[in-house]
Amino acid sequence: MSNELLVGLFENILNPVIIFSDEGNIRSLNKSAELLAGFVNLKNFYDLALNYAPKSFGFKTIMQTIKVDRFNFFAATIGYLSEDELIVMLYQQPSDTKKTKIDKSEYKLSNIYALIDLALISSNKTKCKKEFDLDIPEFKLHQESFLKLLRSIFELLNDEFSMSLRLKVGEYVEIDQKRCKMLELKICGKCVLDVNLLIKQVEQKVHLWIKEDKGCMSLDIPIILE
Amino acid sequence: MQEFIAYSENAKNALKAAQLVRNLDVNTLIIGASGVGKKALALQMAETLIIDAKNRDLLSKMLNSHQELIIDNFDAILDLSELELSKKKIVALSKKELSKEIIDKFFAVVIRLDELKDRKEDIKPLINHFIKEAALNLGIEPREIDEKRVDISNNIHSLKRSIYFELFKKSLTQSQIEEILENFFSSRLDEIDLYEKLLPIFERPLLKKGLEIYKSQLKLSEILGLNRNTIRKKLKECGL
Repeated sequence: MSNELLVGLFENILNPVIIFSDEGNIRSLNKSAELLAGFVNLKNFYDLALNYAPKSFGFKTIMQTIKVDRFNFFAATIGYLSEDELIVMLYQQPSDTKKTKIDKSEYKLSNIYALIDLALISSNKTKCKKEFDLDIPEFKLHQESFLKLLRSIFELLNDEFSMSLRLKVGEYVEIDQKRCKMLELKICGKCVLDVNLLIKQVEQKVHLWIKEDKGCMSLDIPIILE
Repeated sequence: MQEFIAYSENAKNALKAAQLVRNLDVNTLIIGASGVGKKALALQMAETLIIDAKNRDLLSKMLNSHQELIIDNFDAILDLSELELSKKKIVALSKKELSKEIIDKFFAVVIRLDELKDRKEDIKPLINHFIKEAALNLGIEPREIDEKRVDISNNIHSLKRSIYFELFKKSLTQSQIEEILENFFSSRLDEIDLYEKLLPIFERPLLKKGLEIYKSQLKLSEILGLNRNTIRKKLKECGL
């Protein structure tokens, strides 16, 4: 097998591959690992590698569930390439194709500030505190689903809640083979009803990710420009 | 475009929502009692036909042939499960709150308009607006109207009616009043003892206004050229 083939495979394989030095510094990573780096500190995988690496040169595959943000891995191959190079390849669970493929015909260029205002008026919750990045461009959204989702969330909350909207610097998601920046809309307040049910219903219909943590709901929204 | 007057917080939010929706292709529901301005608000969102949902055949026909519509009396539709509103821009008007299931199924945006009694900041501007309109339509001079004389029990419907009535009233000449009375009397001229029955129509407003202005029966009797005892007796007969 030629070197070019191996390099090509390394770069384009779906599984994140990271090469560490013996001191735990990152020597090399493929495109998938670069994507993963937007969500987690890759040096965490160095500890995993050290724990499971074979005692000498060669490779070892371990079956272990590793969950990081929205990524799920079910195994890892770890091995020494040389005295001072440790390689880790993570095996990713097939991603939810709904999240990586969308019907763009229903997505329209939208001003997210306008949509948030509309949802606040629809749910009669116009007095919330807002902390918004002001330079978010218009991007493609499924306006109807997004408005309904926001309204449902706002209706779950008591009157006093706060919101922040910011660009997630360095974070990307791949949609239809295009890299999209990520936006985070964080909504914090007292929920009147169970949020988990809403999250389950919504994630099937709307192209974004919802997390709930300590009284705050985060919506990670891909900025789809094309 | 019909104006939508917005000074209260509720009306301002509604107008803001309407202006934002103008640029979107989503369905909107406007909920509010009769006369709160649902149609005027809907026309801010979409300059299109208004169809009454009570005419179900016409509604079906228009939904098949139009992308944008304003549907009045949406709450009158009984079989909502058969309705298809997707991939259109519909503004639906309803006098009643609808179920969450229906709202979530059909509408991305919901606007609730309060009654005028809860939108006090809108009343004076609405009065001024309809004074100008009435003056133009009736060909008379606009005049100030005491807010207390304006009826908002049926929101803009009764407000408008009472403004037209107040302005019209102030513009009447003596001969016009006589003409109105003639018209009124013509349907009653077959009754007996009619003079006694109809005299209060003249005496009551005269005595009431006179007492309001002069506050004294003595002064009133001087002005009207009647004996004070006669005044006292007539006030009692008129229940004043």
